[in-house]
Amino acid sequence: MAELLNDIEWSEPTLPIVHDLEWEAEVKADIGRVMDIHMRTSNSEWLRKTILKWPRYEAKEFPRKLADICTLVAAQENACRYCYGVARSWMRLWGYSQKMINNIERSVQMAEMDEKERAFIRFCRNLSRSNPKPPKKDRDELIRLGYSELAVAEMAFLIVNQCFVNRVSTFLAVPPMDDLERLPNSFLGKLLRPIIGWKLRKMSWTETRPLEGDPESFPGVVQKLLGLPAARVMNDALEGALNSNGLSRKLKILMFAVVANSLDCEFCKEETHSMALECGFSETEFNAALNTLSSPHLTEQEEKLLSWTRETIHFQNGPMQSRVRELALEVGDSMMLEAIGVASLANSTVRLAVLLG
Amino acid sequence: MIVYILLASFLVLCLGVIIFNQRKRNQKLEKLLAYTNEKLERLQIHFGRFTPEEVIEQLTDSDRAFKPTMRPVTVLFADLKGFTKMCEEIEPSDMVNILNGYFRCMSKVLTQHHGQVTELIGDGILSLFGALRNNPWQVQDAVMAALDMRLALEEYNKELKEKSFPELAFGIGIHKGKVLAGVMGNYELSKFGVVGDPINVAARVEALTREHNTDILITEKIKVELDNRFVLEPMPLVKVKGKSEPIRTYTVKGVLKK
Repeated sequence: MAELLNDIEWSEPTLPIVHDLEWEAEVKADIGRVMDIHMRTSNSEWLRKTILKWPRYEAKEFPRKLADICTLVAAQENACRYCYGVARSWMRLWGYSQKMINNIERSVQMAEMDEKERAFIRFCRNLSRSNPKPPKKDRDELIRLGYSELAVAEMAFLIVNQCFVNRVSTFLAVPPMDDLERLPNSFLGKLLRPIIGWKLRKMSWTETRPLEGDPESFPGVVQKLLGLPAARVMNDALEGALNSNGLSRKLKILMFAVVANSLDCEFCKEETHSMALECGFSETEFNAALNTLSSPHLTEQEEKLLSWTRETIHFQNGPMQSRVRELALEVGDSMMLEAIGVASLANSTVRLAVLLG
Repeated sequence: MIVYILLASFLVLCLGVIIFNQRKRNQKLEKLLAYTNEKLERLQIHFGRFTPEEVIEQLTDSDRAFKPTMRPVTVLFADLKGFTKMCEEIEPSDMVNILNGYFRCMSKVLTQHHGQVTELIGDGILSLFGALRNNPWQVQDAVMAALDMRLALEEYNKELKEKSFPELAFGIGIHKGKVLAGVMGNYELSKFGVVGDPINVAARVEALTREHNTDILITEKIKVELDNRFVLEPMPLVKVKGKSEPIRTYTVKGVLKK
């Protein structure tokens, strides 16, 4: 059941801020302000870049209004207190009425929207929730209503992109941005709303560099996004995560495989299976590791992170944030941060693959 | 001219009254809607104590009923030993408190291990693993849950001892198989439930814990899905009610750490 902003359980941050002056200068040059989440993720090269870019991804194939709604709906469905507060404030600053936001949150008075918008919101909710599985029939419904396949692929990417940011923020328990949340209702906020809204829009980002190379060589899920800037965006994140040194490659592949098995994604199960064999698992070892969530290739700490990956598929904030805090004490902050990134990316990738695969 | 002005004023006044009334009506309707929403949200929260949240979500978010479907699940059945005798010796109000505390501890452990408490039958707990969501690790989860229930009961017994209440002892039976799970019943009265032979087998296996003088028993179907970290001890073959062949069970001693 989707919760409203003030009902969401949220604890103190699970991992500390790590200052990296060079990185902070880069963030400031890009968006003009360094936020808490940029400092908490600064220890992981690929994760910090993904967190900086992904939330600002600008959709090309469908209206901006739907993208704005998607941010709010995904944050609400994933019960991310931090992202939900930001999304709500941004929408207000972009000129959406409080009444409209309330209606979207409560899924009421949808009659004010057209059929395509209603179908899109349903798609957002169901894909974010993915319980029991990401809804292929919702995707077909959008195509029937006139959206192109490319537009639906981009919608799906945008939703899983939000789910990724929601997960990272929730696992880290990033503190809500109180000043931003107060802004829309403040005198200054009301007075300068058009200017602030315009400034926020200017932060939007899209990938302009094409994805080069043999399309066959890209991960399956990236191939499904070819033709969209999202293809390069997704490919860079996957490459960054799999090539980083924070965790062993074997553990990362198993983490992806665990999510693929939980969400019963045949497409990802096959892909992770081949990747596991390439990186040194035998067939028996890989199956045993998946069945028991333990392997001679993994250390005790890595096994703990693998078991934890299961918890990241459907979770409640309170127990999850306590668990992350406990695990961080056992495995260390930097390993935990990397695991948070990989598990979040695995959840997004597999959800996308179930839908597009 | 004056007549026209009066007529126009009258029309403007009428329009104003209509708009005013309509706005008032809208405000009333919005209040009613907000109230109904709040009521629905409260109802969903309270209803969650009687039926799994996933079932409520499916029933409220779509017009699809949670139709019963066959699915492989792992069934864990736990029952208190000597409960009837204890009821005769303890005040009913104390007994309810003891039982509520026991259910609270056990439900917490079961939920932690991805189990879903489906029914409380007297002093018995029927918990399913993999009934609502795909769970490739359901067997391992159920056995780990049983082992942690053992620890949780030890802790709870310390609490009971401090209050001068008798200690509790349970038996747990675990089995796996296909069951029919979903919302069952008629239009007037229905509930989420499960039906199938594995439920009966788990209950029979639980009853064998008295005969074998142990607390956790699993069937062969469970044993074959466990890896060698689990320390098991085979029990003698026993014939149980409703089964033509005697069944082999294993007691779970513990789990080895890496």
